[in-house]
Amino acid sequence: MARTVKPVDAANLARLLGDYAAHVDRRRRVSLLVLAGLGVLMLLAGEAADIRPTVFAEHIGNFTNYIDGLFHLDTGALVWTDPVEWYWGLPKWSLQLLDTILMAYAGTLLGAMLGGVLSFTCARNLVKTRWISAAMRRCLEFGRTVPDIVFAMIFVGAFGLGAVPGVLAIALHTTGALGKLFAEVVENIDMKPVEGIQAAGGSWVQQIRFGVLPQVQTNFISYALLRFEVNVRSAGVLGFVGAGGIGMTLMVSIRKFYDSDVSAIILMIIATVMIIDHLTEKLRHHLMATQTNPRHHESHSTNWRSRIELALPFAAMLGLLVFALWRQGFGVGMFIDGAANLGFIIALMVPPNPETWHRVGFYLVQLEQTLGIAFLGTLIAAGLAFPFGFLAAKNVVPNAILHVLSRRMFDTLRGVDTLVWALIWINVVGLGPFAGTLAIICSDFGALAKLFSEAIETADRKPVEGVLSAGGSGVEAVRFGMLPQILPVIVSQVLYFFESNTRSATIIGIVGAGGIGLSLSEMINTLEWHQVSFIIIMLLIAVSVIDGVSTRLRMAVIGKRAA
Amino acid sequence: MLTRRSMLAAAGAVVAAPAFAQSWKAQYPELVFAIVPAENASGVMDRFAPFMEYLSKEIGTKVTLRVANDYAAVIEGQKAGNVQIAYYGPASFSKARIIGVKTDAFAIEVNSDGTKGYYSVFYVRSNSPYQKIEDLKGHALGLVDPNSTSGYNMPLFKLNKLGIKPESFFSKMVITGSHENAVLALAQGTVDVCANWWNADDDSNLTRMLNKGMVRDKDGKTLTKADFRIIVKSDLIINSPLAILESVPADLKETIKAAFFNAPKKAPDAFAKLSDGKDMPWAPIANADYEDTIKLVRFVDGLRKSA
Repeated sequence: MARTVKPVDAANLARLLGDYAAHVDRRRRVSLLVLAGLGVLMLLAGEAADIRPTVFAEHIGNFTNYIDGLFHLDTGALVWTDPVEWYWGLPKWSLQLLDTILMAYAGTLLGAMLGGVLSFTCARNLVKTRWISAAMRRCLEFGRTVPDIVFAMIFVGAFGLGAVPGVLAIALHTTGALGKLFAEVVENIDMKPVEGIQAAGGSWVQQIRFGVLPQVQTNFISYALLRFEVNVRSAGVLGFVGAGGIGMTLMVSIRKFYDSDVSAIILMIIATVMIIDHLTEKLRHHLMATQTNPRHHESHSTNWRSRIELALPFAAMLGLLVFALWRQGFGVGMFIDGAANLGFIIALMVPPNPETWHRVGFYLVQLEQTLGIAFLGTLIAAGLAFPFGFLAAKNVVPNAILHVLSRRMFDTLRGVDTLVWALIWINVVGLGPFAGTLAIICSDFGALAKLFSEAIETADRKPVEGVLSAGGSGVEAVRFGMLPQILPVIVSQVLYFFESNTRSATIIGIVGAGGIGLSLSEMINTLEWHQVSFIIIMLLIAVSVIDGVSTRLRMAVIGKRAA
Repeated sequence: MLTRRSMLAAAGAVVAAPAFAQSWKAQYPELVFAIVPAENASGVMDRFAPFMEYLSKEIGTKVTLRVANDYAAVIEGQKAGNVQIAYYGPASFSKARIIGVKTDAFAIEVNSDGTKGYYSVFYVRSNSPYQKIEDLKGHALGLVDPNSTSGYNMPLFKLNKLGIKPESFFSKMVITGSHENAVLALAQGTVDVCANWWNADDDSNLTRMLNKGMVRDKDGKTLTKADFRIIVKSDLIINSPLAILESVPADLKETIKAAFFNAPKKAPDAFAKLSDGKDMPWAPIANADYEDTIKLVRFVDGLRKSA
């Protein structure tokens, strides 16, 4: 039915326009303030991270030279002219790579199992005793704040060289990382089934088994699969500190300037990560698709077929775990010995003691550098990833070739570990935090661009169509139809990355790319355990402060939009 | 972006410019001196602090010390052109030359007895049964850094001469990262044998570490020299060189060289602190003196594909 719209009278219109202008003004002022604040922080971080664009401009040629050099054999010929010579070490490298994958697999599975169990004990909706859940949370936080490579360095001391410390390091770090995510999943469940079981007299374990587990299992598996991919990548560099896998060969090749070996091995790792990425994504989609099957029919009668179908993959997974552990030389005796050694090391760490105030000052300066690297690296990576995210999003640029190419590029960048990037950038801009910042930018750019483009692709089309149908241009459709939807997601991801980069920025110090990592690795190597624990505690405090601030910011950003 | 350091350096350069009026001041507001630490970096910082002060004063421009935590980082720094002066080991200097870094050796370390060489040794614990390298089949070997002469290249060369293929002979070969770490790995039992540098009975990495009381075994017991045994000693290795980038202007080069050669006279305390008074003044040296090391490094590089 047609109705005529009554025009707003002049007085009302003026009032509305005035309100609107005031509101826009206020918002712009806030945006400007935030930007100015960011700018100041960036300058500070730039100073801490010793950023020198002139150095970068002068030496960027080295980067292309270096990359170019990686694709030349000792004879000077391009690598593809003689693949046999390029991949002379293929049998050896393949075995080492397989060990690396097994290491990541065992670490991920052990970590996921432990993280799963612990997540129930720290979910606020399941554990009513506040201090227990809070204490468990701190434990998980410790596990994920200390980078796996740092755990590996400590474990190498206790368990000896080889893959065992690598597996344990990955397992511990994964427990922390997954435990947190799992706990969040658990806290978001529907409590009715749990209450039902409780009302029917079920024990706490029964509540978990029948009330919680069916609701969370798909998410658990999905997160664990994502983690597996991350762990394969980081397992690739654990060999740098003697913790098994292909890392040591890669490290020697980089440090000895065996350029064609470096490119051969890195490409193998990237290909592996991509394949695993692809497979886990398939698997996750498959799981999500089968999740909605109604279950209540089955629960009345024992359906052996479905039970076997369920049990078989689990049996296979456990079988592979046992094989992986066996292959990596796990044994009861060595495990007990190692645990005893570890206990001894931990005893030596108490009390944390930097010995002199001069040291404390020195560590603080290095910590400031680490934070500067993380902050600047994340922000610049996000700034670069933003336009590329749009470019790679199917719904913004509907070009299949561009889509595939850009996604592969992101995967390639992501597939190279931050530590390897740091080694490459040291070659270009020299030792120091600047190289570290560039390393963070490179590895994060790929990850963030991928996440951004995915966020853009899942954005609701309706606002965009609305802007277009009202005569808006493509740019306006993105600005007013899409941006408001994805900005909270993007901000929240950037904040999360900043937090996680504080940890990555720690480890790049190990190869001389600035920050507290240098002192940390040195103190571990020289067995100054009092100092080690002091540095780790400094790190924990710094990360938890950042965590707190970023959680608040994230809530503010998401909450404001939702309201 | 201006950093505090570059601004200070620039300010310093402005103040200093009229007095010296040398053209390279503008081009090199800051010189970087990179070293590979033989010990932990903060120890090195303390050790080098007075010497860096002397260098800055003597050269008239700020000289920054960069402690690389591995040998390759120094090579890369020089290759990238942002490390003007480098304190190499013989093999890392050779590697730099091999990959085409335009850097020239100008000074060499001289031992207290006037010799200019040192050795690579294999240590085992004296309470272990191993008497010769052949006894260590199936045990773990600790190396130092892929670009260390006495801790990697010489040991692998020596093993090859003894007819041993390390990858299959030892159960594990590990890069511990530094000379100190290699000794600690042996003391802790992480490895059964380790390679290290050795000058003389009273001057080696081990004795320096023992003097500091920093060698402890797994149970925290402080070890002494009697707890270690040398089972292999290599041929003589030429001492470590100081090298300077070819691209540094000639007059600046001369100033830098003079500063190093005059250090023992002009700043005797700072110089002595560098080696705990163990070294004599640096002596001049040329690239050609490192030809043998270059051959050694090339040989060891080739070994990996023949395994």
